[in-house]
Amino acid sequence: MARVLVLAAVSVAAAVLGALSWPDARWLVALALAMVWATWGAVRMDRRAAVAARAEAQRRGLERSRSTASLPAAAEGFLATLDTSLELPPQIRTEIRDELSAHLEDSISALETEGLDRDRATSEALARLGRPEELARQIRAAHQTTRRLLAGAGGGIFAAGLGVIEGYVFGILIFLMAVFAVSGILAAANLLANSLLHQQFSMISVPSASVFGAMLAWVPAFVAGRRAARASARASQRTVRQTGTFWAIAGFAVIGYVVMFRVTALQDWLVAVAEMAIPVAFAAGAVLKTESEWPRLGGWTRSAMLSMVVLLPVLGLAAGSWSVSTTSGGLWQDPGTEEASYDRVAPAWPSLLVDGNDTTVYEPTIDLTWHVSRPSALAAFSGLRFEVWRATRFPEAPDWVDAYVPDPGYSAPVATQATSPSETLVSHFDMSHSKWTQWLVFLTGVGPDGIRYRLARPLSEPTVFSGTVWDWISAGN
Amino acid sequence: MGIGRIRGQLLKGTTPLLVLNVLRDGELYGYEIAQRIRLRSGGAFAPSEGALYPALHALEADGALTATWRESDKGPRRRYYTITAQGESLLAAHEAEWASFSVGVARALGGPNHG
Repeated sequence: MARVLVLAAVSVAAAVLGALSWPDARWLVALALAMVWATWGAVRMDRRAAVAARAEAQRRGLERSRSTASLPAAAEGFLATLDTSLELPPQIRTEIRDELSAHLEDSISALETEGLDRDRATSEALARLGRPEELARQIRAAHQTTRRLLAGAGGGIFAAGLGVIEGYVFGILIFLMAVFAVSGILAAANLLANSLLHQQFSMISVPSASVFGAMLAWVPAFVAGRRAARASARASQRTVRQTGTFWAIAGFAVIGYVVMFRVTALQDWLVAVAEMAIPVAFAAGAVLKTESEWPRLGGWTRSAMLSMVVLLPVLGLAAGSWSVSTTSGGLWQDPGTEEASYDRVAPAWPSLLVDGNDTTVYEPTIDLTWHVSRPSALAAFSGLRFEVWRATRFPEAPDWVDAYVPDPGYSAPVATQATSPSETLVSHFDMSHSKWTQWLVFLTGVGPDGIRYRLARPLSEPTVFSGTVWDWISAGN
Repeated sequence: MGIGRIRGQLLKGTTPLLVLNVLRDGELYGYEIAQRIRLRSGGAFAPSEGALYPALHALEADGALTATWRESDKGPRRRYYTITAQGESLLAAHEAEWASFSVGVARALGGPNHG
């Protein structure tokens, strides 16, 4: 519990830092209150689980000592073998053991009354019950009926549904804690970047939101797996290990199929990994430490898991989804130095003929409206077309954030669209089948001298991949 | 095949019938059920105790019996079985089947003297 409190304190500190860093931090205060409440709930749950575990241990010990205290060692051995051979839920095993323990006590006592000594009476009583393994097999068969198996399947599905709801509520609480901590860390990073690098990092991009959404689904998936396995075990009177294995395989296959082929989301590699972890979380919930409703993890393990919940989004943001915004107002800064890079597309016409403005971001499509500043000049060009080129950073450029050059390896136009001169040129490019996210859009045309020229400033357009995980995996670059 | 084995085979299918029959008189726990059957048969036979508990649990799973734990003044707590309405119906069906079966077996075995 102390570790949970320490972790919560760290998160609160990070959140306070975030609140201090951002001018409009009212929502952070609201989140702080929610997180304190969540922490309080976690502490209470921790305490309640410990009390329940102690009470259960005491009850078991009392019953065990009461039920078998007067039995000879041979009878104890018989019951132990029976117990391990039953492969039924623990509560039912305990009841069967108690029932047969009482039976043996009665039987031995009656045989002693008939004149047998205790050892012979015990041997005779045990012989009448037969081999413990066979008795266990027959009792197990009596319990594990087909009807109960079907009830277990139905109960498991129902419990999984409830587990999803319960898990989402719990997951949101964890998520709030994580978001809070991340917010604080990012705020600190932002302050650092502002002061040292003079760069402004955008906090959350759309793929990041998809990653968070997928990660949020881990908790309900885990809880659903756990609930399904345990409910099925109760209803079908099989061990949680048996039902858990079944649910792990079935759940992984079904959820994996849905996630891989059916769920459409904004994808990048991080989102794909996070989504594919959902069926893994379900399977883990069904098979890991299933003797308890929640995994009874050691303090350090729990702390490490909570820390990972906090750290993973940070790593995710750092690795795949930070976007960089610029304030320099475009890419066409100095034709003398930048032009050479763009000459791979076409040489620049001496004067700008068209102004472009990007209108859509974070979509798998690029929609642009270009305003023609000199229609009469543009009319002199033929074969006008927009070209979308894959963009990569130009590492040699001093101001690397603003310098984009087409990657020579992918210099063929991805899409072109012919148009005719008018006051406004509208272009639409569907980039949903490409994993690449950064593009340069050019307007080119063939001049009076028969040479193709660049006629406008190239626009830098970010896109995201939209589709299923399989679409993303199977898509080309 | 020895006599004991033949008796065991004959008893195997009749255990649910015998269990339901003795429980018609009131609730009993496992050991009592075995003793009651032994008593009613005049000591001639009793169900194998190894077959008794699987039969009790199967009947309970089928809804023919209900079971309740009861604390005991002396000794451990015991599991008492009670016949249900469904169990009564099952018993009636078993008895009719057994009557038909036993008459048929007697006829097949005996000729005119076993009529």
